[in-house]
Amino acid sequence: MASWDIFHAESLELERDLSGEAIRAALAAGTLNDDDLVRPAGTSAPWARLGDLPEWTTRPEPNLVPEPNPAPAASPEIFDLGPPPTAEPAPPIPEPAPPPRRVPDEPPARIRQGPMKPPPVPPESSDFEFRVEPSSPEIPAAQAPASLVAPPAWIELGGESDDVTFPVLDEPEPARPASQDASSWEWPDDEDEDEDEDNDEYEEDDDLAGRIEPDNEIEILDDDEDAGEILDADGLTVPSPHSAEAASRNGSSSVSLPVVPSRDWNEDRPPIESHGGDDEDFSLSRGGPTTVEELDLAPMVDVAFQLVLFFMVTATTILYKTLEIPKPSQEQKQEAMTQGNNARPMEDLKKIYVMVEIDAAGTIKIDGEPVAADAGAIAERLRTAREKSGRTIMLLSADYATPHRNAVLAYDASIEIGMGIAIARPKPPSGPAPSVFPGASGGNPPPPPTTPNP
Amino acid sequence: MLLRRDLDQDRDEHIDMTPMVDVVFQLMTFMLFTIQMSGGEKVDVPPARHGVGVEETSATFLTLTRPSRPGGESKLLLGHGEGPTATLDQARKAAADGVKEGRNKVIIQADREVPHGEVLEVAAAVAQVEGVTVHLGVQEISGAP
Repeated sequence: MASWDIFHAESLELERDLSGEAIRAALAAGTLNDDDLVRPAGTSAPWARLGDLPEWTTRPEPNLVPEPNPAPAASPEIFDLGPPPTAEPAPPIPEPAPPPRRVPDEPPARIRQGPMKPPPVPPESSDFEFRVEPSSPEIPAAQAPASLVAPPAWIELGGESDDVTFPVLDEPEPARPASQDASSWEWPDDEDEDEDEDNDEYEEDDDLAGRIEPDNEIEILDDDEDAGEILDADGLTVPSPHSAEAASRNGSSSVSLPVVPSRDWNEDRPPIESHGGDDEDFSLSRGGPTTVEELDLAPMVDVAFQLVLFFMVTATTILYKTLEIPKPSQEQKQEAMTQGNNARPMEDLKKIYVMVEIDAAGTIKIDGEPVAADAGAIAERLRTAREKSGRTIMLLSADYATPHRNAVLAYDASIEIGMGIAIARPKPPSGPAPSVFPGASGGNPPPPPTTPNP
Repeated sequence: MLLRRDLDQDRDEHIDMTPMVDVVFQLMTFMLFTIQMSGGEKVDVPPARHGVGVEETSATFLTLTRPSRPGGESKLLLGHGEGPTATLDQARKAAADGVKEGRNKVIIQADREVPHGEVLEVAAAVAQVEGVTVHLGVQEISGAP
């Protein structure tokens, strides 16, 4: 007895290997309706609506069995007295190996769980089948009795009377997307509840496949270990879309899945150039951890820190900003002496030096004229004096108690304009000698006067 | 069907060292261009716009600190102001020792408030050493370019 696969249009569930009685009982009970799809079990024939098959929707009557004595209009040669052929559909493509089936005569649990009624007694199959010559002009098909109406195609194919044969569609199959083959669907054998989620994924993938180019498709075959490379624990196999096996299985059941570009794809892999070879199966498996090709900067960082430490340790050269003053000497002692017994007349000194005098309060005079305590002003006055008189040496005659900064101010101005420096040693203030100069008070002569800077 | 990413797979996680290297080199450049090779003066030497740089290892340092009170006495110290109080003879001897060691320059780090006469007395004392050049310690004018 032939069995059928039923696809519930509403619940999107598939039931396999249902007998004709179970289907009729389900139709009678309302479990199935006209929108559900049916096809012979184990085949990849197109699905058909139950409503399009009057064999399922209408209960056959016993008198529909053709009488041995047919209508006189029928010619004797139309009787086919051969043995009844077995219910074997003739699919246009080689039938693949049928999946493991349940007990054929036992309807699936889902149908049985419904409000089942006693299945109607199937009509006795007739040992004789007849065909009406389609070219017979005497009896129009519309006026012929029901028993003489042209039988469905399954009768011509040798099917049994209670075996509803899938009708042969005269109309061409509606156009489908190139990516969706007519036999591109095969439902998994297991009808567990867990498989519903997978079915949903298939549907989503199918929707996605309709949006992409067919060239980017791959076919993932299930239940066939020899079809391709095993991807993961799920046992999914992915054959090469260009392989011969995939080409040969074009008519077999398969699920078309799109190839979605992913950043996880190993870009380092060479492009797959499959030309149908068996060894060039396309694989989605990741080729192990991705090797990151980047420059190791750790040694560079080490060297950089070494350089930093080197500079920090060796940068001990500290420069002190100084002003070089004339070195006093004994030979020049009397020359620049301005005070004391050996003092030269002031008039003579003024002819040689530009006189810069600083009193104890810090007042600065150049050639007797006061000037602001500013290096720029002093330099400008010294430049003017040099240009007028041609004197190139400055003689600093500062009070002993004047702050050191005022003397440095005069030094700085003189160096700025490039004048020579002569320092007149001031007379110490009256009273005991400073304690910081014990050596000078030990009978040594007073410090020598400054020397002009040539 | 499993087309999802295997999240359990080990990933090659590396710390990007490039920003760190960039920062290191930035610091090096900053230090090389901004470090001021000058000694920390212990005394407030007078500022000056001009001057010459004298290396620490090539000079003998004498320090004159400001008087503790106006009109008071200054202190002559050997070195950078951390040594003991010295006399003019000790200062002259230190200059002589420096010349023997190749340090022909004597830098007098005198505070700006030190009397000018005292600075000259110290300069005259060390000038008696043959081969010595006398320098007065100054500092950069604050705010000058």
